[in-house]
This record gives sequence, C-alpha cells and structure tokens, in this order.
Amino acid sequence: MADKEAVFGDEFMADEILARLPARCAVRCVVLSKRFRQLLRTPHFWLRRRHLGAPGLDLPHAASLYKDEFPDRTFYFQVVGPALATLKHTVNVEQWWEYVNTCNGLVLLTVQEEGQQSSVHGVVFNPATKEEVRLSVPLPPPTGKEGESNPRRSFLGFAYAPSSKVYKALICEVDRHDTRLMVVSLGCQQGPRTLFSYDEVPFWPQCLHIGNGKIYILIDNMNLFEDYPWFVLAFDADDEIITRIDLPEKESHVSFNRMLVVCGRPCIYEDKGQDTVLWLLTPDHRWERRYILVKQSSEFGYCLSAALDCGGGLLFAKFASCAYLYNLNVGEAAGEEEQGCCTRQLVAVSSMRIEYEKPERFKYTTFQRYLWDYHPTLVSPASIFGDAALISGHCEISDAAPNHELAGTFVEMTHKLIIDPAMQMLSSI
Amino acid sequence: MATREAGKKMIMLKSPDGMEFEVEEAVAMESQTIRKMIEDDCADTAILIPNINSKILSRVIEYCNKHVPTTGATGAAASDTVAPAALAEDLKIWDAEFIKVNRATRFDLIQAASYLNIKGLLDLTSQTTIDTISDNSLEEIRSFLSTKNDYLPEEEQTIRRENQWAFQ
Repeated sequence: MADKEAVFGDEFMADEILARLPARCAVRCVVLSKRFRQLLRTPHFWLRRRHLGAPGLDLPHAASLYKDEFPDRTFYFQVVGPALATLKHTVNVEQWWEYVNTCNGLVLLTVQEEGQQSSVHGVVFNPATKEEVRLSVPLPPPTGKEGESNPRRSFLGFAYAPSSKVYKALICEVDRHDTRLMVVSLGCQQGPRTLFSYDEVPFWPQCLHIGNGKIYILIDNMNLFEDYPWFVLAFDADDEIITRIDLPEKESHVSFNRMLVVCGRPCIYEDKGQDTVLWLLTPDHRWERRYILVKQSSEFGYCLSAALDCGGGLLFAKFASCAYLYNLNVGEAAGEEEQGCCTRQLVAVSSMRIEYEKPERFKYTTFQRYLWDYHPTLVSPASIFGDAALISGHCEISDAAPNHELAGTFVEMTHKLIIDPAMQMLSSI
Repeated sequence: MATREAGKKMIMLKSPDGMEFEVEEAVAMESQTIRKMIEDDCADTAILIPNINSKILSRVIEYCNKHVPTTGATGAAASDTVAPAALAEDLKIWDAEFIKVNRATRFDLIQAASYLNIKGLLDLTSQTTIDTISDNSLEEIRSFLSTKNDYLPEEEQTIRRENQWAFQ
C-alpha cells in the first residue's frame, strides 16, 4: 500500500472519496487522523461536497433559530429531524441582536443598536462544532453635519468568495431616507467600500445564501402605506457586483414577505387566498412563475408559514394549522408556456391538520426563523478572518449555558409543527 | 503522429509494461490529460501512460470506448432507433457491470481515472467505493484510506464530544 499512499495524497482522498459521503458521516471522519481533520475544516472541502452533490442531512429536517428575549438574551439554534440526534447550539448576546444569514455552515448574528456607532458588531458561530467568534468592523464616522446624522449600521449578509478565498460582509447603513450598502473583506485592513445606495429605508431585509458565493437579499421597506417597489439584491462575493432584481408584478394585494429555498433556488411566494404562487429565481435573475400550490382547507388566506424539502421532489408546506405535501413533479400545466417555463398547478398529495397548541408563554409571540439554507460543516468561525487567523488564533468553544427547559420546548415545537406532520404525511403516500 | 484507418484518426497508447493499444483519437480524448497532450501537439507516435499497467489501461480504454459520445452519422443512426433516455439507462447498466471488480482493481482504476482526468470514471469508481462501505463505517473508511489514527485516546474523545451530534 505504501506506493499507493504516495500517489493518493490525503487531499486527493478527501476531495474524491470523503467529499461524497453524506454530511453526518463526513463530519465523523474528523477522527480518522489529525491531517484529515485539518482538511475537513476547510471551506474547500465543503464546497467540493456541494459541487459533487453529496447528500446532506437526512430529509426531512428543519434548521431553525429561536430567540428568547427574557430573562436572558439567548439564541437557540437547532436542527431537528426524525433520524437525527438534534444538533443544538446556544448563543448568549447582549443588547438587541438579529439573525443575518448562514454561509458555509457558519451563522452570523448582528447587533441592532440605535445611536452613534464607530464599528459594526456581530457573532459568527458554527453550531456543528459549537465554536464562536466575535466580529467587529470599524467604520469611518458618518458623513453629514454633526448631530444631524445618526445612522444605524448593521450587517446585512455575508458570503464566501471562492476564487479569492475571502469572506465578505455587507454592511447596511440607514440614515433617515437613505440606505447605503457597503462591502468589506473580512480579515483585511482595507475599509468598507460603498456598493449601492438608494433613497428608501429597508424594514426587514432578509438574506439567503444558496452557495456559489452569492447572497440574495429581499428588501422590504419601511413605508407600509405607499406601494414602493420591493426588490431582491443579488450580491456576488467574487466580483462584488450587486444586481437589483425587481419583483414580479403582484397578482394580489398581499406582499411578498419572505424568501425560501425551493429546488436549490431562491423562491418568493404570493398568497392569493386559496392558492399560493411560487416564483423561482433563475441563475440569470429572471423570476419564473413555477408552481401554484392549491389549498383545500376552508382556512382562507392564511399565509405560508413553513416550507420544507422532503426529498424526491416532495415539498411540505404549512399554512397556519394545516399542513400539505405537494409533489413538484406531478401537476397540471396552468396557462401558456413562457420563456421555457410552464406554471404547474399542484394539488396536495396529502394534507392534515396540526393539532398542537403552543405552550402558553409562546402563544402570541413569533421569534422563530427557519434557516432554509443551512448546511452543517466543520468550518471554523475563525477562518472568516483568513487562513492566517485560522492557524494562529483559535475559537472559543461556546460555554453558553442553555436554559434546558426552553431548549427542550423549542425542539418539541419544531417536532410538533414541522417534522411529525411531515413524517406522518410521507408515510401515508 | 497518428495513423489513419477508415477515416478515423487513431492514436497509440503505451503502458509501462510495454503493451501498446491503438485507439481512436476521440476515445483517447475522453481523458482530459491525453486531450491536452494532443491539443498541445505533445503526442508523438505513441503516448506513454506512466503508473498504469496494461491490465488497468485496457479496462480504462474499454470504459472510454463505451462512453465516447456518438456523433455525426453513427450518432444520428443511433438516435433514430434508440431514445436518449434508454441509451443512458443502458450505459448505467453497463457501468454497474463494469465496476464489479475487487477492491485492489477499483483502487487502481481510481488512480488511473485521476491521472488521466476522466471525470465519469472517477465519479463511478469513487462513488462505488462510498456505496460499498457498509453504513459508512469509520473503520472501513480508515482501512480503505490506509490512514493511521494519530490521536491520543483523550484527544479523540474531545473531538467526538465537540461533534457529538454526528456520532449519535
């Protein structure tokens, strides 16, 4: 075997053999040897897996983030699935924090504070390894007269640029009626560069990372009464190009308020009472009116609160307390074919009512978010500052003590609302 | 550099143990490594393929022969009678039969596919390796890679604990 080892370096083995393993098994390979652990901790390995289309976590599973504001400020991250020991992580934060996005298995949270800020702060953690680092980007003082300008600054997204092997963060600066987007390369001395500005104020921007170094940000805006056009910004981390993609013309008065990932593509949806229209973004930034999900319940007008890929083209969708299972491959063509895309009208292959009462304490609060684009990796959060930081510095292993009762409640909620209904319907078809 | 036979450009491949294989250029060019040699005009009368013995080389050629896309007149004729989906299905069955070899041969084929840069063959051999490791057992992976565990027992315990969710 000695000569074979010489031909087959560990890199080759990691790239060609281990990168084809299902996610959980690939993670287990850290105990093979120290060298393999090193290789498995690089973004390269996980991007390679993705490129090869290696299987992820068992389907169905749901990754979600719950936020508890009282008595402590704590984020509870979890991945729940029937065949999966729950992947859990807890982050303690101060002040008012928000979820930003996930990239290469790392999750970014940003501080949302009012008042003068000389830097933007964030936390990056890897829930699969329980490591976290604090992130702080110094910013030049805001332009404008003193006392007049008091912009709010926070992270809007972060992505990995595969060709330069650098993580880049988007920073959003909001000042009254102006919004400025800046990009900064993490781990570099260089200051932030302005990419884009517009004279509207984003309200709840939502960021998705699909892989290949791109993030998509749905910009909602503050003015709820006027019909401002909303849009999606696509940011390419490699060439730092930001593209504004206008949303398709609405067919109703309901807004596009969330982005999902369907068939590995960014998806926005429009609830039209009995139907929900799914629009998928093509790689060349066109919206395809792809599916119409037909609801059979009398609960009219409830919006889509969860959608989950169950594998094999099956999509789990939850509207209020009704859950449906749709087969994306079987559906009647609705209308004419447009630009090579035909809308399919899908009738659920299975449906059920979810009989679950949320615990009293959480009944009227929603502070939960599904992370459609989360894929576990072993990438070290310290690697966002570059390879040098990865070698010299090391991350803290988070010792945040979770409130076990709360953590358990959140896991149970995801089970009862998503996983159990999905499993029940999958077994019935 | 190449001989002509029935209108098709032929090329000679030589294994280190002295065997020679005459193949169509199109077949040889399934290998990106050989394609590059031919395009850069580095291919003389015969191309020596180092590290790959004649037994393995003949199997690689067999694979390339089967997978070379049929173009022109032959391609048109084929698609007249057989649907592309059926052809792909046929190829799949052929691949499954082709890869029924022992572990040592498969190892050699991975090496050959990697050196010659034949993506399809590399995918087939590597994926088969993964598929034959039952329940993705770590011990089997370790023995296939012939990797020595260089952790102290307590170090390994710590790493297992850090990634506990994956080991349960």
